[in-house]
Amino acid sequence: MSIASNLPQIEKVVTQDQVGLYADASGDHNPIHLDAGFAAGTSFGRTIAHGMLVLAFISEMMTRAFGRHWLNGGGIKVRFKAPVYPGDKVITFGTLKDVKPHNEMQLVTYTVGCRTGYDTGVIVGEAWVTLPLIRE
Amino acid sequence: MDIAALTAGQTLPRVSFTLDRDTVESYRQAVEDSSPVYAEEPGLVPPMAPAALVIRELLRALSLPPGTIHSGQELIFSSSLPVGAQVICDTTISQNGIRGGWRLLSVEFSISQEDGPVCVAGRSTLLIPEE
Repeated sequence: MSIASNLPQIEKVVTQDQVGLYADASGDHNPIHLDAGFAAGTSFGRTIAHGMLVLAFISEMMTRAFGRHWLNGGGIKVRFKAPVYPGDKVITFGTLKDVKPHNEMQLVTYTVGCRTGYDTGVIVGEAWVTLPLIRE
Repeated sequence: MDIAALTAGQTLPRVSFTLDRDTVESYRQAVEDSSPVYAEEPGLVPPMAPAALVIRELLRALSLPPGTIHSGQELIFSSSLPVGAQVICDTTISQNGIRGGWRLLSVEFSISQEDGPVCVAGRSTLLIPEE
């Protein structure tokens, strides 16, 4: 398996309908995600997407790139820096940061995150995956 | 539950839930993940799904107030889980304090199948509005 310097991006437009579906699927019905009236009274001014919904886009990026290696040996550490509002286009990114030997395998680390179409970094962090060594 | 009274190291009651087909499919449709691996192996659970359901259990157990914000997340996926798996989740408070007018609460969790190794571990950091 080759190690890409930049992972293929995932682009999603988040909708309020999708936020509602995620609320039902995850059981997280915090009104900050669903109730426009409640959200208007917060610092966000309107409803925001679940952080875990947007983080799932990064996981999809890693799954598409590394398949089962991500599911069986991946890891991620992120901060949610800014809200994603319904209507925002979210674009994931993954940039190679480090490759080092690890238990006869190789530990590959990417700087990962999401930005919106306004180039605002909404999630920033690192993701790592353990891959077989490429033998010449 | 009185969130202010939670202390670092305190464990919450163990919870159990099932990654049944409907739950997993609802999750996959909600996040719109059409990664080929799930078509190749329909019995695989997206690794974020159990973590998302842990958040649900935390919301229930802690009665977190409306307006709670997710500020950070760490996850380690040690092994994939199959659709239909009955999992158990152990949760520990790792940090609880006031910062900038918000309560910062960090919770560590581990998810495993009964008598099995940990499949997913993580730490969720939440910002809770102070009254």
